[in-house]
Amino acid sequence: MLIICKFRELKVLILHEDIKQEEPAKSLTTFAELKENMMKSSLQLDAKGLSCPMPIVKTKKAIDTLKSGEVLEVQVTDKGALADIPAWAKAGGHIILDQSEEAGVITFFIQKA
Amino acid sequence: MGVKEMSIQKWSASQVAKKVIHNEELFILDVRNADAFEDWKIDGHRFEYLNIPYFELLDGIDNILPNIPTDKDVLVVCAKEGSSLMVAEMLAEAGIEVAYLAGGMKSWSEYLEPIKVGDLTGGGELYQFVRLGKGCLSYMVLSEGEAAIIDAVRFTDVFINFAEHKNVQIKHVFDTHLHADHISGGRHIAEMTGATYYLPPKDAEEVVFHYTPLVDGTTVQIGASKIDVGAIYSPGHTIGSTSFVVDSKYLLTGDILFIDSIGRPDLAGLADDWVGDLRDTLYKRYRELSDELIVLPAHFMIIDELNEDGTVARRLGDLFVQNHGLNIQDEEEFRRVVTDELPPQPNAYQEIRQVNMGKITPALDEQTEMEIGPNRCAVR
Repeated sequence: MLIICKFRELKVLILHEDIKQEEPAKSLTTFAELKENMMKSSLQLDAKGLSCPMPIVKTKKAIDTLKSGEVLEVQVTDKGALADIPAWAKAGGHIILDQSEEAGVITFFIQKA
Repeated sequence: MGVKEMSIQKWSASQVAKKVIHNEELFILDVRNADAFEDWKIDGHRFEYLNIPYFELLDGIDNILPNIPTDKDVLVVCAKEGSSLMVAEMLAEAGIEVAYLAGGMKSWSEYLEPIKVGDLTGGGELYQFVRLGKGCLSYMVLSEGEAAIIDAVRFTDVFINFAEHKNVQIKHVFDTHLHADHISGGRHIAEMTGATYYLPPKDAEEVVFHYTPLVDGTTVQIGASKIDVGAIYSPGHTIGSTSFVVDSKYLLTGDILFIDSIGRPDLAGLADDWVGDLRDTLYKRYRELSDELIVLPAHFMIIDELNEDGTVARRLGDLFVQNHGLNIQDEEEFRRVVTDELPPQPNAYQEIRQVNMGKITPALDEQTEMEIGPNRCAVR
């Protein structure tokens, strides 16, 4: 998966698979740092425990308050959100920078279009 | 100018099932995302559909109002009911008479409609349990206070309550083969009722629980009169696939033969080996049986396979004339039809087999997840 984004006016090409690798390598450390910086979210939304449609209703409301390029961090537990948030993001032109799951909680980092 | 706000109706899966079986009109606004809608939906011959993901309607439903008919029932549907309720409320505020499906597609997938197939000798009855949302078909043979169940799905309370209501005791529970598209409730029903659970041994090599081997010729009697349930070894969909003849009238074919298709031989990973068995079963073993037998399969793929009363059943002789899979003269062509261009395998088929072997015991919501989507047991 290819992500192209603007980061402080520097266009960076990032290979998603590379970011996920564990082996430390000089170039990958740079990617990891970049990723961490990119995903400093401007707003965090806790939507855990909410059932469909509330996760997306709240995510939409939250992202409406952000400026273009800002990042929203959302946490959900509803399994429907797993497929719906990426579909909603794609329809709106927002980019899913990262998606991870731990102990039933799914965390999305979404960059506003 | 004010709009008269309408109230929202709440429909059950059972109400929708009646509309499917009675060929009624219905307009379905399906608010799941496009992938889910393409995978499976509520099928009805006279149903009309509009698929708009609910997140595209968050700002309002004005854009789609022109596409909502006013001359027929409108049902909003989503995965579990949450977003369909939200959209239904928006439509109602705009003055549209609308209903939503309680429990959503989840409840549709789980809904079982028991339909009587026919009477048996000496006052017995044969029922088919039609799981419209997934295409699974289960059976109960009842006679003189006793019952046998074939290919039960996982909603064990439906079968147990039905038997109780009919005043029969479940004595025998069969699976025609190890299922790969749905989770069987057979073993659990047997555990709860003290009935014997049968599985074909050739499909059961890896199972971790106790079962009674179901082999060619195994016969049980239901009730005091002679309702025979006789097993016929009929491999090809799986190596252990077994059919049943009930009361010399009905042929329960499992997943070997369907009304409009034939079974695919690849769901346990050995398509090549079993193509020959499949052909033998369909073209030799079944040809030796009476044309008058009524075929009752374990699945249907399209609602065209349903009869007017909602049952899925056809005379064997008629299938030999009409079913394409039974009329491929050339063996090479037959091999090609059942191995090339097969539809994708059913969702989670490997895990489902593991569940049916007793190797894993997923929680209820995981079971629901595994069973999402169509059954895909046939070659087309």
